[in-house]
Amino acid sequence: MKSLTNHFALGLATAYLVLALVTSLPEQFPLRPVAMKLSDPIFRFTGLWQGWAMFAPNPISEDIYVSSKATFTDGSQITWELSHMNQMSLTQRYQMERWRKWANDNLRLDANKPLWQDAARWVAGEMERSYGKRVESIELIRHWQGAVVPDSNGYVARRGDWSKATFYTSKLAH
Amino acid sequence: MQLRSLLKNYRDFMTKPINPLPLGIFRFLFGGLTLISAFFLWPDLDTWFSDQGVLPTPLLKQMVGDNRLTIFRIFGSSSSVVHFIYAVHIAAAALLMLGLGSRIASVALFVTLTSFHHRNIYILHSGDTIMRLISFFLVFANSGAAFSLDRLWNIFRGADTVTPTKRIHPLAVRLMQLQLCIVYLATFSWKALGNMWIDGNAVFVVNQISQFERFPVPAFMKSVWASKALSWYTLLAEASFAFLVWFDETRIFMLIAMLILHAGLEYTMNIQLFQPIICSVFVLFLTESELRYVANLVQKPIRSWLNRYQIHVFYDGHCGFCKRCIAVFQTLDVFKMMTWIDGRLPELEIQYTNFPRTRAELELIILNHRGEWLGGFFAMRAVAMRLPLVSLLACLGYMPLFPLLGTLVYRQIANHRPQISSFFLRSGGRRFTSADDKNTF
Repeated sequence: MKSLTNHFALGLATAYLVLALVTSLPEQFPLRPVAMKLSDPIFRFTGLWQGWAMFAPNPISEDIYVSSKATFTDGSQITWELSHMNQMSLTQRYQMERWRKWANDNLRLDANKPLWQDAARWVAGEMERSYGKRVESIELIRHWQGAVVPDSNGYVARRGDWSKATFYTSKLAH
Repeated sequence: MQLRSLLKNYRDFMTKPINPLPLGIFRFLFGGLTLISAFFLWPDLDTWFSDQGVLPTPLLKQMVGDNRLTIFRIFGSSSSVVHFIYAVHIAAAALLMLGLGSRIASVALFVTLTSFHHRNIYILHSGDTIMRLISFFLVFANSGAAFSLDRLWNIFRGADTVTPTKRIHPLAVRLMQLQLCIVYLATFSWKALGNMWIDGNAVFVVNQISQFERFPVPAFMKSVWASKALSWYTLLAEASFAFLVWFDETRIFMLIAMLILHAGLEYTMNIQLFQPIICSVFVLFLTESELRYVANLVQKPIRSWLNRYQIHVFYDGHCGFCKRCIAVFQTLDVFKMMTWIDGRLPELEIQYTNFPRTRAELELIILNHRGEWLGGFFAMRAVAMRLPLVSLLACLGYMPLFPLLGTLVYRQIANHRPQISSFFLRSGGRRFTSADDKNTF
């Protein structure tokens, strides 16, 4: 009985390792679709899902952060830089790393548009608590500056300036 | 024949018992890192995980579906539920780190950690993924077999010995080791598709992303050629780790190479705890003798400095309860500051001037570095001060009233040793008799 249990455990472990490896490889790997189909429901449920494309295939080539601008009912405006990490102190930016992940890597993406409304609602709530004034509207703003890649001769062009664009505006009902 | 031997080697690799010390030390490190990670979440708990935050439950279901393991599915995501599960998570991480109730702690840790991760996937980085996977494997590991309070308790119960002899099933450890190999192989495979990595420009680009900046990078490290060297170093190290780490000749070299890579990343990039988490897994690739060698390097100078404070401890060798306690103290005496002597030996009057024979039969006695005989609470205090794990607590014994209180408590325990022995016998411990304790030391 113990031998059977051991063999079963070894079989399960081996199956996990094979599926984890194959599903972690790039999409071009031939067996990946089959492995994904087999493993996805179980991995997704149990928390064994994984992806290891860290700074890959190429690292992100834009410096990005997200800010919010609150317009209060009295007409005043306050800008809150949600994830401008290099403006924070060393300890602050280490503790607030989740903010970078949330805002810079996820919130600002068009694919995550459904997140914007609740993000704006939450920002408005925080602004009202901090300043004691009713918020009339919230803008979520992307800021970006492209990185430069050396050419084949090693020449590095000048970096462009920062750009910004409002990607969501929320008017709050009172 | 070759396939059969390959399968046999694989089976042996995955099932032949191993020394538990690397896993014990890893468990301690991993528990500590999980605790630290959880403390960083504390200020923003409601923001990330409650329905009043940025991701209410209906939105979460809309975005990622409803088929993920999470306690929040059952109890909701109100602020009080979030804080309660957080408290359980902290407790589980702390207990795992200490190695107390290791199995239960690892189950609780996996469930709470996965619940938090599934409650908000938009704040997770790769270090979280590794944490979650490792916490799953730890559920199946005997991680309390070494470097743990569980082991101390087993020594006290007589289920383990001071000199470690236990071996554990390696399956969970192998899964963790091989998972790390998968991480490096997979990330290399993805990077190999990227022209920036192949051309050597990847690090140059990352250096321009100020949102990742941590400590200042010297200008020469930001040059095009430094970038090429670092980019290709990363590719080479990640490609070779999964293979070269398994050979004795290249294992340590590969671990050092990856440590250098991760140390550089920890210096330059602000990614919370990712490098420490991944480097903690390296401990599993070290052997017991290598770990003891490193420990000895640290302990030896401290031991030689503390040698002047050596004491001789005399215990009642006819008392099973006493011998169990001494076994625990011996395990904790990492700097070897104490010599343990059976106080019932007849030749002690010859070896030690004024040996207090009668007193030694009633209480713990020590001969300290000043040539003083101390007994009872004062002897216990001297012993505790020399055990690194409890020495800070032992300082309390010098505060006013503590000696009086301590003496009273010690006397009660000393006078009721048979009853205490019986209690542990009834609780499932082994019988505390001197005949039974032959193999303890």
